[in-house]
Amino acid sequence: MKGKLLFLLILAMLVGLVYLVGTRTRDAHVMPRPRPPEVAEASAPVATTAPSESTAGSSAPADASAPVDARAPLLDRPLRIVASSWELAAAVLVANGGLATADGSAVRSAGLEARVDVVAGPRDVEGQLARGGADPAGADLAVVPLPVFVASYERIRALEPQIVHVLGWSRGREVLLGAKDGMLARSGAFTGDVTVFSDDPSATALALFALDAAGVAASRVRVVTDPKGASLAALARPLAVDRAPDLPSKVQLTTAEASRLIPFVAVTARGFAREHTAALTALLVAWDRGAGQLRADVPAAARRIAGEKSAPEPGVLLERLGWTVDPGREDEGHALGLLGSDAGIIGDAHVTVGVLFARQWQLLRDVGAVTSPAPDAPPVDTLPYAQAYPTATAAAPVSFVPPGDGARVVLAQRVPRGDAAAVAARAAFLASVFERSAIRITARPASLAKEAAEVVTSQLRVGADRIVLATTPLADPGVALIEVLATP
Amino acid sequence: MASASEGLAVLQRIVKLAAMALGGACTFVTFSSLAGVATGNAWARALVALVLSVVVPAVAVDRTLSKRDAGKSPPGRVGDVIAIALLAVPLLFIGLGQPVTRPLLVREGDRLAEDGHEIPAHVVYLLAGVRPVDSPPTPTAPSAAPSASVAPGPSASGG
Repeated sequence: MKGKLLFLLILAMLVGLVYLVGTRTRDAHVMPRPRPPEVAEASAPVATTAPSESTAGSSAPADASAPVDARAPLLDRPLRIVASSWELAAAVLVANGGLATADGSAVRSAGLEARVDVVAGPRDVEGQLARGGADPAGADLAVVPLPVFVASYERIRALEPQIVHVLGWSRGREVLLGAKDGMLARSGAFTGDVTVFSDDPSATALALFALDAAGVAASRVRVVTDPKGASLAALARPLAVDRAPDLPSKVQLTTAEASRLIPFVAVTARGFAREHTAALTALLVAWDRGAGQLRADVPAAARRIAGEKSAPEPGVLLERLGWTVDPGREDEGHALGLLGSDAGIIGDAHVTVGVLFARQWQLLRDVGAVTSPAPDAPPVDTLPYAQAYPTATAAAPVSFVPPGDGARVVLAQRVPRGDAAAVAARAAFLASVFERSAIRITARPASLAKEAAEVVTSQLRVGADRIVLATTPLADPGVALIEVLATP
Repeated sequence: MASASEGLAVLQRIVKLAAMALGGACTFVTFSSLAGVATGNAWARALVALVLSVVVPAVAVDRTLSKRDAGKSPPGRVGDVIAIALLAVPLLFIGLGQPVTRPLLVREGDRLAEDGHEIPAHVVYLLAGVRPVDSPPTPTAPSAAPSASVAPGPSASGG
């Protein structure tokens, strides 16, 4: 009897160990390169691991500036950065101490010299990127919203541009207006072709995403710049008070709700990323410090930036900064697909810039704004991030407040056919884009909703408290209805 | 009936052997990473880990099986105690204590990787709960850079 108990104990311990090791989430870690043989031989008798211990393996936040300082110069000329707006350049301006690198700035202490330029339009950004940073009128790195990058990718494809940094997310800047309330939630609200007035690429991306999710294929959407006859208006803040009276005025959706749809990204040519990885790494570390300083004292940063030539007033800059959010380096790891995902890519519920790039490209192609197929692989280079933060850990889940009874439906997606996995994949994607909203699933038969909810929570890692199973039977045709509920 | 009990006995032996092998390897890694706090020398770490991996189960056997019963305990009991001791150490250090001990294990993996032991390094990274990615190329050798770009994937959305 005692022998059997001991056997069961051994079995339980063995299974427990395998389970604990096998089921944990694995964050990315940069594996050091092997030491050259001659170095290893020469240093064999003494402890030789001090350098690696100082840079990797610690659970404390990595600080790559120390090793970076030791191998200056990282670049024999100024690193040139161009941004499409002042709020996107705010963190790097703080890190740089202005448009040109100031003494004592984070960029200078990282062993770099940088020049920041803020231009008016996407074409200016493309033009500077095309010239390259060796030209005083060009740039090595461009900072733009992802939809601007997607729209311009075809024109700068020869550079093989790569996303190397995710600065943050747009939150509330883009607004989709309609003629009536709740058009994205109602069945049959859109018949025939849909005309959308838009004045901004990011707002267009919001409109195409929302209509696609609501069952209006992008091929049925016409994006126009004349407000006459438009059934929807996709606008970017600040909204003009004297906008055309023809434009709809009822708010359907904003990026305050779809808070993980429009990331802000830094893009560089593949050749530059390959040749100057160390410089990019040092810049990311300095940039992160600037972002920290910005978050710590926003008014001071706004005043400082306002002192630059052509910069907006502090009040205007503060308003614009309020439409952006920078959750920090851990969130960036998620956005790049490095953290919080065992596969590093798809398969779980995280929305990455790679996934969003592919999705937005497909929508723009369907609407006719781009004509070529999407790149074979999403243009994302994670090496500078991985080198800058080798021990970054997964971010904490976003706080969530359950919706009350009778919560407003922001958007409804009808699933015409498919099994529990298909319903779950769509629900998980919406849950990731609407990171603070609850998702309600109604299905036919009702057991399908339960199965889908189980897949969403157990395999796709959406919090169980965010999934609501409808008690009423499905009235619409199809197998399932997925609804995004407004936050309280 | 006899064949069923024989089958169970065989199963017990297999599980015990697996426990000793896996537990022994993990215990070795545990003690090696602890020794790494004091020294980075590979031979010293291996020696310390080997000695402790033998001493700990031996002490467990000595303390749990009384000397009065020497030679009388059921066959296999010593093996049971050794297996439990070899599993208990990694279960505490690698399994339950991982949030605290991860830096030590990651450092151990780094040391193995730097010494050119890539496969053992990957095993230790697995135990530590990290996913190793290749370190970027040196700036002077751009052509050697393997891209770690995120691979494409299907969109979860549909319309």
